[in-house]
Amino acid sequence: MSEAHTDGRRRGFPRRRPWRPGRAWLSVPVTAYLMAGLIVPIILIALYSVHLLTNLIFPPAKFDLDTWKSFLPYLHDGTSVYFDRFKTSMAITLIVSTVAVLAAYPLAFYLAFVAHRRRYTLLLVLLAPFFVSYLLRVYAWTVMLSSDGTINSILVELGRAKGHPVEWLFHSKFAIGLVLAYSWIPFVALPIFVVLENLDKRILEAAEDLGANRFTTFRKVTFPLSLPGVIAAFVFVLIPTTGEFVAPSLVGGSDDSMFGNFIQDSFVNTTDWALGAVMAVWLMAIVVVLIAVSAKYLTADLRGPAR
Amino acid sequence: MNAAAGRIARGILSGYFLLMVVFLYAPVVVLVIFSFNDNTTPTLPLAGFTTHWYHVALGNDLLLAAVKRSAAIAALNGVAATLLAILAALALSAPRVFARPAVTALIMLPLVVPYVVLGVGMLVLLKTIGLEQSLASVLFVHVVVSVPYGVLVILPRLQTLDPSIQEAARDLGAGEIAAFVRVTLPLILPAILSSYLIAFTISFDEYAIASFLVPPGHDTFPIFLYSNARTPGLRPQTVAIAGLVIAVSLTLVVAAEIGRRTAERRLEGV
Amino acid sequence: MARKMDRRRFLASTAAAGGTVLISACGGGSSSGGGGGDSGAARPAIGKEPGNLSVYEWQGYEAAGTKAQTYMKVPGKSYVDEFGASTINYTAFQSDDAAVAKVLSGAQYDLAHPCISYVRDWVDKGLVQPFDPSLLTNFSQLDPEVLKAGQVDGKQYWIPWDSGYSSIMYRTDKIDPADATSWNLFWNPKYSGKISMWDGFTTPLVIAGLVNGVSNPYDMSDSEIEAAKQKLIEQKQVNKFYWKLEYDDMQPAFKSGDIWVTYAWPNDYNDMLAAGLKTGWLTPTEGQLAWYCGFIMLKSSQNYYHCHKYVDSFIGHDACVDLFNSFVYASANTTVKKSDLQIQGPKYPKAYALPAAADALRIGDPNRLAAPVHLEQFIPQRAAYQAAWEEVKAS
Repeated sequence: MSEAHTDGRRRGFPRRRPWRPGRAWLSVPVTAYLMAGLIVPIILIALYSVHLLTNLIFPPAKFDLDTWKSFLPYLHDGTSVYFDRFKTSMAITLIVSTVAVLAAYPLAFYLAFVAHRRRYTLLLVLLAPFFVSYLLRVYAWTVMLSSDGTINSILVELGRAKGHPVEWLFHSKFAIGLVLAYSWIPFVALPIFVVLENLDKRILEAAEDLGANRFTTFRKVTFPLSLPGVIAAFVFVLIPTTGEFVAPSLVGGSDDSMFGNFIQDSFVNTTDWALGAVMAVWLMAIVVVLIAVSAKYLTADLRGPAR
Repeated sequence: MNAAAGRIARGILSGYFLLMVVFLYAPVVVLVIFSFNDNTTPTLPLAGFTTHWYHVALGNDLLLAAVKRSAAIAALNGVAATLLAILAALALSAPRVFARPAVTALIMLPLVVPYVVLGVGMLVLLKTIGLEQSLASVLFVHVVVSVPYGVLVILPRLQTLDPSIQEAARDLGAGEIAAFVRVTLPLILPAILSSYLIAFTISFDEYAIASFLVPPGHDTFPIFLYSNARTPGLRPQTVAIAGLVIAVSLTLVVAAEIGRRTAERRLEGV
Repeated sequence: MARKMDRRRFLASTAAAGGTVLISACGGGSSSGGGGGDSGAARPAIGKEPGNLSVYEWQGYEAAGTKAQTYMKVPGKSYVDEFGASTINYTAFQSDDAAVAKVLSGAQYDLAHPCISYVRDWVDKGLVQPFDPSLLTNFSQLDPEVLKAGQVDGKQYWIPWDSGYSSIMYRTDKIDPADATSWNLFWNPKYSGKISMWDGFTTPLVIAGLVNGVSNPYDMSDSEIEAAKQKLIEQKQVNKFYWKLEYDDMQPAFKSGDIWVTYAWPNDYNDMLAAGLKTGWLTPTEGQLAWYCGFIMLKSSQNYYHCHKYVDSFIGHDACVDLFNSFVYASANTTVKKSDLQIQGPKYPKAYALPAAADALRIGDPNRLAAPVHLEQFIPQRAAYQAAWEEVKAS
């Protein structure tokens, strides 16, 4: 059906390969920049992970895989507490990403199809609070969530929590999830909005003309076409959240440190960086794999035949 | 025109949007309210109205200098990161790219590298090549971490462009660069703006990298915020500064909207 | 590139471990000017030094007269009067471990302000140069017993200044007095969810060691470290959260009633009493921890004489009195007597320090370090302590 539509539109033009502004050599500057600012520092850190660089006086720097062996449970008997932390952190990350995308999709949809001329204004309204420092926003949540915080004061006032403030609000996994989802929702809405906004509205009208109701149109046309934005959005949250350390350290409880906290601690608070380097390299490797898997969605040609 | 959503769906979506705005603004609004509260601790009930904390904050040269430093780095970061992101997005949208998965992975990699690793790694690198910590090194690494966000915003926009528009421009005799500047660029302008804003925000807010690379005596705003661990009573001032930052960004929002409307009206007038 | 660096690091570290002889040999090869050592002849006079001091400090301890300092009026004042506030740059650090790690990774400063148990870490890693006590006019007023902790091979690498105790602060209206006798209060299931241990890198291990009854909690054997680790994993069950920032998470949580029992310092005790909370300061049967912090001069500093003048302006009698009046900290200056201090009462109705907190600090008491108090010490197995604490948090 879309073929007929396209052909009608194209009549009169010679068929040829679609012209695109892109040129592959344009990747040279960014590649060079990232080599210097990203790859070299990572290599230095990787050297710490195999003890080729070290801050310790003894033993001196010498190639050694011990720290890797103690981190990866497959390479030794017994458990690795840090590897277990990695698994729980990934679980938290997946939940947060899913929640953020689900919450953000309707916002993007609203902006793209309902808000009309006000859509950029409203988009900026969504983004505006995020010019306030992340640290301050997390701090704002501590003001909201603590035992004598705003929420508990209101609950007590309403008589819902007589004398007993709701304690699971603060220093808990709930608090971490809330703060992370809160932080990401507007940013997640952005890529979805960009894709939805650029959908050819005529395709939607065509679907309607052909008798599809709005829900069917959404399910069969709009949503599939917006998938690249959704996947981009998901990756958008998932990846930085795997290294998150601020929220767990400010609103988490004793047992809520995430993988990123241990990496952070290792470099900031201890002199032996080997374990931190191992965990950092591991995290990077995992995410590179994740990206490699999702790369084809991130760069998918939306105009190609429907999958 | 209303192919996407019916009247009821639009009502529900509007309500949901409003609710989320309340959710997103609630903590910020609470912070602003407490910045006018005549008490050093942010707890209810409110103690009384005061602008004292704003006077203190605006009289604190160190705090203001830190905010200015961060704003300058963030503004430069927005420009540099967005330029690189445009180039990268154009490269990735080419029909054939040498080692596309590798290039994509490289560009997206900063998203996954824990910032502390980049901070430490860059400090070790500076030491190795005999350089000292500087605000320039902070900016350098901020660009690294901002580029992927720019690409993630600009690339989907490029890919959803209708090629026939650009083909038409070319058919009408426009050169490759002219076609890009006159046709493609205006079409991806919203994405470019988004990229700039995101890059600005990331840099203005960034703590982990800066904590390693900021030179002595040149704290950025987040460093200043996080390092008042041992000083009692500084909090209300920083809360006041947060209030000011919110006011400035909302003013920008309004200004942007007025600018857009004016531009639109002029276009319609032609 | 990496190879060369390894070699240099290896040389530097063996040199540091072997004493100072090798350091000067090594320094002669890699840098021109007078590095460490005593060769005063090669050192430029004070007027020839760059003069811009870069100080790595806890926030809040900046010299009086600089814009950053809004509380203290005396410490550092004479230096600022002589050289000007704009000649000093401050960088804040949040923990001793972080400070060592950052300087190791290449950050450069003239002076830093580490605490007593870290002096050896700085010296052993070859990061510091010794002071010349004869250049410090107030040196003779400092407690000789504490000064010893700053000496390595007869050289004074660390000049002590501020001091205090570490113990448990608790709500007297919530905690049964019978339970408030020992560090064991951190493990008491009666108060589960109302307890907050400090995220203090090595300190929780020391506390667990004390509770386990080891002979020296600062030098535990591997099996003792393992036992302390298990003890802390047990503690985690009743712990609400590990606090990180004194004024940002611990004090607000204590004020709001989120926690009733917390690791703290006497100034926190003072603040909570001032906020009207019924608060107690525990003197555990196993003994409180006592700490001193002070100044070290980094090896890369080109401001030898400026550094001495700076430190001297902090350790004098009046500066140490003002330190107490502003922050409720004790000091290493033995000339400070209780009668010098401003403590709230008829004489000083607006003073910051409250009598109970002032008493907790035991200023002027010649036995303030006597048993069962444990003066903090260098921890030879610091990396193992740190690793054990990380594992507690990850378990």
